Formats: sequence, C-alpha cells, structure tokens
Amino acid sequence: MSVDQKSSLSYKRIKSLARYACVFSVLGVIISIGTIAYYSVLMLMDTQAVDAAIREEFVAAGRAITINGVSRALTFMFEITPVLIGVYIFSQAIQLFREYMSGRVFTFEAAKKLNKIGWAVAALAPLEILSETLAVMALTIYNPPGQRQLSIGISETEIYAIILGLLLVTLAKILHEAAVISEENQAII
Amino acid sequence: MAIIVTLDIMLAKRKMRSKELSELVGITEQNISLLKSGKVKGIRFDTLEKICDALDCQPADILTYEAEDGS
Repeated sequence: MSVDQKSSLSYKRIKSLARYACVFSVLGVIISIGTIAYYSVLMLMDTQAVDAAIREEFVAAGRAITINGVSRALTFMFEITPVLIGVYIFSQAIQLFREYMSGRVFTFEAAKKLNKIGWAVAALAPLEILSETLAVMALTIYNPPGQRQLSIGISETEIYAIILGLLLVTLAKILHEAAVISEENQAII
Repeated sequence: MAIIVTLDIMLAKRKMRSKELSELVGITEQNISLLKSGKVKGIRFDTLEKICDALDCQPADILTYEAEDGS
C-alpha cells in the first residue's frame, strides 16, 4: 500500500469517526438543552417537583436545608451554569467534527475550536466546585445560625476534567503547528 | 526572489505546452502555471525529476540563481 493510499484511508477513518462523534455531540446538546428546558418549566409550573429534586441531591448528605423562592432560584441558577458550559462544549465539538467530516483536518479553524473546547473542559471543573459550593450556601443561608454551611469539595472527576482540558489545549497548539506545516506544504509543488 | 524559474523558456525550446507537461508530470496545469510564475515556496525533488525527464533537461535549465540587489 502506497503512502497516498494509507493517507487516504486515514482521512476516511477520520471522517467516519467524526460523523459518529458529531451525532453524539448533537445528542449531548439535545439532552443538555432538554434538561435546562425541563427544569425551567418545572420552576414555573411545579416547584414541589423542583424541591423534591433539590432534597434528593442535597439532603442525602445529611444536610439541613431551607427551600424558599430565593434559595430555589439561586440553586437552579448555580446548578444550570455547568450545563450551559456543556452546551457550549458540545456546540464547539459539532463545528469541529463538521470540519473533520469535510476533510479539513490540519486547519487553523480546527485548532481554534479544539483550543476553545480544551479551555471550556478545564474551566468546567472549578465551575462545578464553585456552583456546588454556592448552591449549598444558598440552601443553608436561611437556616438558623449554627446550621449554615459552606461546603467545598474536590473529587477525582474534577482533576480528570482539568487534565483532559489542558491536554486538549496542548493538542490544539500542536494542531496549530501542524496547520502551519500543512499550509507550507501546499505551497510546495 | 533570487531563484528564478525559467520553465517557460525550456517549454518554448521544447515546443511543449503547459497542459502536455502537466499530463506527463502528473500535476495540475494550475501548479505548472504557479511554478512558471515563481509563486511557489518550493519544488519537490520528485517533481523536479519528472519535469527534467519530460523536458529532457537538467535542473539548472529550469532554475537559475540571480543575486539580489545589495547582496
């Protein structure tokens, strides 16, 4: 098999993989927007269901919480923020995989998109920690003195997200260099 | 640029058209045109070899060096 044939086969594989990845990214956007829409509707129509969901997540840790209009709205806002970042990541991923699907692999545009995804993934971890902390604060701020809580927690998942995000940013820099070489190569006959 | 492409002169000497050369070398006519106008950053050895083979000439017959002003 010649070098050209191998390269053509690799591009076919990239296109095929990108097609599947694009489908999953679209699914991710649909699920994330669906989740936001579902809880937004619940916030307007059925606050008891929202309260039940909040209790399920926050009381399980043996925490005393006070749910009122303000704490409910704040918790909703803090919990929804990482999901919005997720929507941003998925939308950037769709654009990136579309580039790959059309055979544009070593391009500055692809490097830019990967760079954005990387920083968003890396930012997701501290944002998750912050949103959880703020949500606990909002839910316990109306508790009697002595029962108010400030909770900060970091888990393996957050560390993985930071490493993965920085890895993507590094790969984006490498892809940018590859795009420079590819552009140069195109100017050589 | 100090390297001057004299491919058009060689093509005229051999009475060959760019289209014919592009078919013999296996690159597009557009690339031959770019090469003739010197609007390329470089030329691969295998392309050069094919051009020399098609035109029955030496690399020096299609590439010359001219010192730039002030150098």
